Amino acid sequence: MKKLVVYIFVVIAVLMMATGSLYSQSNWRILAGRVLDSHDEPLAGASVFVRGDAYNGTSTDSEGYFSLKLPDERKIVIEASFIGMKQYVLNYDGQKEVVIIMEDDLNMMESAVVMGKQNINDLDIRAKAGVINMVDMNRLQDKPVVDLSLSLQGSAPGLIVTNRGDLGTKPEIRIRGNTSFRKGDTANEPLYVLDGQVISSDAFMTLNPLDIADIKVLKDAVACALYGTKAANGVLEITSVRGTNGNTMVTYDFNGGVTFRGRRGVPMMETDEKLELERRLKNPEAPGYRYSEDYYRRYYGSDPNLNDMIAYGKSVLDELRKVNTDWFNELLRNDFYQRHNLSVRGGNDQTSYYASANYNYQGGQIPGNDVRRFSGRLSLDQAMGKKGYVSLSVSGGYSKSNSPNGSTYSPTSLIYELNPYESKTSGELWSYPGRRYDDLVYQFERTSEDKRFGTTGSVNWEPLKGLTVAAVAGLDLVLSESLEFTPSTAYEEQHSGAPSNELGKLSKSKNVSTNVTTNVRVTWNRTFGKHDVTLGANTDYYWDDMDNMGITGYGVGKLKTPSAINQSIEGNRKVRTSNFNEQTAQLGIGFLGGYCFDGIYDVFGTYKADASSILPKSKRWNAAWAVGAGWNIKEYGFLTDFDPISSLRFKGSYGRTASLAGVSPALTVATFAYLEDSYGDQRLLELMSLYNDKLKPEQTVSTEVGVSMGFWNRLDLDLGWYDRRTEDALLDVPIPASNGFSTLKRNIGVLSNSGVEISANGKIIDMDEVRLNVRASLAYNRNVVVDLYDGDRLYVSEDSVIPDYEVGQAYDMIYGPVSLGLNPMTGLPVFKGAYGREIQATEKLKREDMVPLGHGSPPYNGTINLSFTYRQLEFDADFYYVLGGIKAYAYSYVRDYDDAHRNAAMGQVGNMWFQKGDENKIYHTPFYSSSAIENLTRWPNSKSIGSSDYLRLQMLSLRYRFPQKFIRRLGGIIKYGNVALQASNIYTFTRYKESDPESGSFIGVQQPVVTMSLSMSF
Amino acid sequence: MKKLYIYVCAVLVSVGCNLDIRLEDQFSDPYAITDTETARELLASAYNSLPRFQMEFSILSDDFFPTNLSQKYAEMLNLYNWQEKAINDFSSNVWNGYYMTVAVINALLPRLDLLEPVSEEDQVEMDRIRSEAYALKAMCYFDLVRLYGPIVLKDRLEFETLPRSSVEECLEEIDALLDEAEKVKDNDSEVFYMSSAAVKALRVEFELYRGDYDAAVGTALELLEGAESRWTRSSFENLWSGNESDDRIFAPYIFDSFYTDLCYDKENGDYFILNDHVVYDDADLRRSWCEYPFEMTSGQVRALGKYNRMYYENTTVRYINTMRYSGVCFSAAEAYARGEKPQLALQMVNRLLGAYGAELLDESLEGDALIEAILKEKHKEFVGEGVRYFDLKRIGKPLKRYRNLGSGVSSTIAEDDYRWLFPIPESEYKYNDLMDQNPEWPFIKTE
Repeated sequence: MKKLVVYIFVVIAVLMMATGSLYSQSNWRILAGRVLDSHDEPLAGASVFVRGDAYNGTSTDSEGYFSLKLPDERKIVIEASFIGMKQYVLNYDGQKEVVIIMEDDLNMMESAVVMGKQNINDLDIRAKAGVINMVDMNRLQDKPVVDLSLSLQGSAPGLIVTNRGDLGTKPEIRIRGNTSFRKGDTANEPLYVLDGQVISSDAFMTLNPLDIADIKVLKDAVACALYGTKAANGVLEITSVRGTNGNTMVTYDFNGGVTFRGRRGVPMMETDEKLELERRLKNPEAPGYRYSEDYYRRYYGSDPNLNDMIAYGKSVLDELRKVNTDWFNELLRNDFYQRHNLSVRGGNDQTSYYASANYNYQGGQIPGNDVRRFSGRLSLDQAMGKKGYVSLSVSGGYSKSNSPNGSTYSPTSLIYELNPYESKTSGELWSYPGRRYDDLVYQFERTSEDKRFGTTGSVNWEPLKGLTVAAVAGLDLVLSESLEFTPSTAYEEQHSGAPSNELGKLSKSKNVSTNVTTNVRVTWNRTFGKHDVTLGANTDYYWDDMDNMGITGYGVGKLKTPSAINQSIEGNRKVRTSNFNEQTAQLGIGFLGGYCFDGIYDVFGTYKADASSILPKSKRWNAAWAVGAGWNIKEYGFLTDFDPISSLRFKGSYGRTASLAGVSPALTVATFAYLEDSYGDQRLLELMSLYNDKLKPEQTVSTEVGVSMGFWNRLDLDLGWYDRRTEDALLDVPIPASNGFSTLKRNIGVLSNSGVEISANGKIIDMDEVRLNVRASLAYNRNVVVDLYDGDRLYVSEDSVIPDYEVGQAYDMIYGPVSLGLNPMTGLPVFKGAYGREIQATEKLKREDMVPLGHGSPPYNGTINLSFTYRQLEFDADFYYVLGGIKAYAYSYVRDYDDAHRNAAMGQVGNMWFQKGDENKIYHTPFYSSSAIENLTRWPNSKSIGSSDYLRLQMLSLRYRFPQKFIRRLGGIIKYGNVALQASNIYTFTRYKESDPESGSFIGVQQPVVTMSLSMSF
Repeated sequence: MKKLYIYVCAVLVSVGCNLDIRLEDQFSDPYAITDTETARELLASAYNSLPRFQMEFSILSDDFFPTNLSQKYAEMLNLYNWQEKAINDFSSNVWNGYYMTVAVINALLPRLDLLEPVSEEDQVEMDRIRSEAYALKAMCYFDLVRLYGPIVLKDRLEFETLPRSSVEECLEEIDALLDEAEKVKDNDSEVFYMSSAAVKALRVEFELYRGDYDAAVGTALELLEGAESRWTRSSFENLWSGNESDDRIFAPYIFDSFYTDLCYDKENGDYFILNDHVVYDDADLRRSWCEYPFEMTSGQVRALGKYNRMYYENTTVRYINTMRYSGVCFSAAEAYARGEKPQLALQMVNRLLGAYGAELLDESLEGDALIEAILKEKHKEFVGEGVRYFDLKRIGKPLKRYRNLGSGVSSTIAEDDYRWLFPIPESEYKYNDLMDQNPEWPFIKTE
């Protein structure tokens, strides 16, 4: 195999070089010109160069003059750029002289980048046919959000980012929904590529947004196919900021402000209502009943001291009524946000460099939850003669996040449990019998640290006109460490029954994930008259290594270090170590071809074969291929000068990719691993799972059709329809237990994600000093089970009443019965069963009584972005909306008899059924027999769900750029400067009544952050 | 320059081409079970996965009375009261647990056959591993057959959907497995492995169940030669204090805590205590280790000793006493009695009782009364160890369920009650169209 690949590669390379030299030619023309600013002042040091030919360029002299030697080609585009000015583009049509007048760019100091692409798979021909969205980095950088992944939310249609925990938790990132029946990140996460180097999603989270020049979201098969079988879930292609060929510029950014508590999920009861609820729930473990008249009359009705008792009870309750704690304010906090960023950028036409350092901190809602990050980056580009250049970059980062929320313990949930008549100092709590407030907080800490190091080197070489050889090699390494600590003083430890020298639990783990990428690509591009041909081939190799070690031990007491673990402990508190190591490699070889006629028609095709070490030899090679075509109607003669239509282009693509996401060697061949336990003096070698020797990789088949239109250069519209089918989709399906294992991973069926993505960009006002730009997007995704190989329905658990997957149905559908409301006589819900039959809560519900209640993952989402500029003032606002989903209410804050001692949602007294005849109540009776439990708790019903629609004011930025006059007055030390008021996640409009409509949990709320920022360039 | 690039490409490609990556801590075929050590380690995981439901089976039997704390552990109280759902849930754990062990053995046996012994000792060890694997599988099947009647006989690790085999076929299979295991005669491995003695003890149990009393007695006698020396005070003490004991034949090793669920907490006492019908003579050396006097809020009670006492006294449990010489003695006695040799039966059981200092059985006992007396003594010996449930099932006796501290009988399970046969769990029949259900148990198929 090795040899074959080498031969093919060599043959292609040689062929291309040969053809390349055949067509090289030597007719040159000279263009002379001058570059001026808008006040007709000459611009010295502006760079002028031929687009697509980084070596044919020059800089203006002190009087702004330049001259260029141009090849005799049909189409030449000349670009001129200068720091702080908008890029100037000139279609060269043979003229000998030109005067270029450049305008100030108020938005960004876009500076000329001499050198070419780092992402060598980012080919011009791919951009034509593929569906690629650019993330607006300026807006992203304006958001004061510490987590880069979260700040991507709403940045491209079809890229869906969902927060799912407290600050520092990795959000869920999907491109166009889940590709697999399997839920979770491993099977559905997109591929991240930074400057041509594959990085892990954890590494991505630690990147500094200010170091990123652009992020491309690759969605369809044509865009992704160059990455082969790794790209079945889409790709995020990140390009870092590089140096310039201009003056050295030092930029300092500061951003500082306040983080807020955020949305109050469910308003909780105040003391009076709570005590009244307790009285009605009649549980003597709650003081509202225990000290009520009802209680004394019931249990001491004939006691001679009854009146004294009642009076005593009243005095106790009166004492409680004096306290009214708002635990939301008490437990959560406002904290701060800050970001410092320093960068240096510069170079000349031979060498350019960029270096930056960054510090970022954000405090979470709950004390003990915060994220801080340091990162640094250094990149260098060096021309190698006239025909090539090399690029090097090194980057590192450190991020640390703390959280007091553990898997079994969460102080955030105390907001909904502690009673208003309790306080931090009130001694033993009614809500937690036997515990004081101090027994509830400082029970657990978790610290996670990520240390990242990455280095990438690339070579671009154009040995012959039209022939490019590019190679990239890089290494990205993330060391993730986590430490979980439960001190010996924690209540759980104190009451664990373990002797005192065994108290205090500590787990520490280290995980190193290493990604190595090499990719060599040869591309040949020629234009013959109206024909433009591109051919290319590449070979790439990816190597991943996950190495994890962990230790868990007891007896550490209050010391947060593994060295304090008491190693003499035997039994189930014995110190344990764990180890996990997985190395996988993938080798690929790919070919591509593209053709464009007269700028009107283009076709593109790519084929890539990848071999993965995950699969046994016989199944190792899998393919990814795609074809795409475009039709650029605007290029027709009759339309070129027709102003109302400024652009019109159709495109379509089709492709097929095998996916190995979430497949490991243990699934296809018997694989054994050692357990941490022992048997006598023997180690335990365990069979990891039941293997399936018939397992095949999933196949993703994508179809895409799109159109882009522009009108009067004012309104741009993009419309796209897609369908992504996953064939041979994998899932752990239940098998008869007599096999010894309860599940087996099998290829079970076909699923499809299809949808529409629309985005529109309108320049509503476009005057010299006033500009208003509005952009809106909408993405719709519909998922459906197309086929199941074994029957029409699949139940993943023996307890399932409703099939988890059913042909023709969406697989994120939430099912449940239709509730007809509470029966005023019983206080329990009545359901509308099949054929209109009324079903009481105590009857067993059947499959046919369940109806689809709605989608668990919202099918619609989109953004509205506003940009307004007036002279030096800029105003930006981003809205993000999510529509069409539902979430089931947990109602964990609605109390019945058993948990009457915990606080309840405001209004429960009025909304709960207490006695016969109560009508129009929301919450069912707190007194019910166990036969109703299943119907009350196991399924949501039409009345216990809420729409998870929301509209979030995601970003606000008001920026003032210092005018050049003002800056000149400062004596030229500062070149540019601006101040801004920036805010993120300011408000969420939603009808959802419980917690957070996005994460559905009480802990995971994106908090509002308001900051002031200052940016200066020297 | 061109050449240079070609060379660079060639180097990159060839360096990159290594795709045969062996994982550091996962071992795939054919690099997994490569010698007798790894085979032994895989067998160890089969031992380790053996179900440990001694407490649950005791609760199902007449070992215990509930206490005022039982209410706080509804799941266990429901099991005590033989509630259909509780037995159904428990049955699922039992079925899955035994078949897990069977699966590991099915993974081991074919891989063991591929090994080439490197020395004579290696050959011996390999034979022992094979013998133990067969014996372990026989033990799993034997328990399953006794609990479920006809079961699935599974010979391969690979995923299969199989029907149940008849009880006769199952017994033949167990017989064959035991024959295989018995090919190794001198396996004197550690007590937590199925030594040759353990295989014999299993054979005794099996023959008694199958009704071949002569075979049962014959094998038992081989084991019981000079067994009195094993039935001393110190060896009984050692059984229940975590030390080595002569009376053990097979006792799986345990790493985790064991039998801690009987106790509510160390201050308030247990969910279940000893049944009043299990009483020991003052002179009986077993008394102090089987009973654990405890002051509950309701007064002085006889809590279970054994593992429960070890929990109270913070003694680590390392061995689960699964087969003992005393058990072989009771089986032999019962086989004699059923084989109409009452004198030999009495002699046999009195050998043990004598050694314990307990009152001997009356020489005049015979027939059913004798069998009952033997089983009563066996009940005393094995109380809390889950043995009684299988005996009750085998002899078919009505079973009383008691109220708090034995204050009354809440219900009686008739000897022909359907619940004596465990239900096939949903995790099997829902995904296996060839599977049927035991009589009267729910059988809900979802398409």
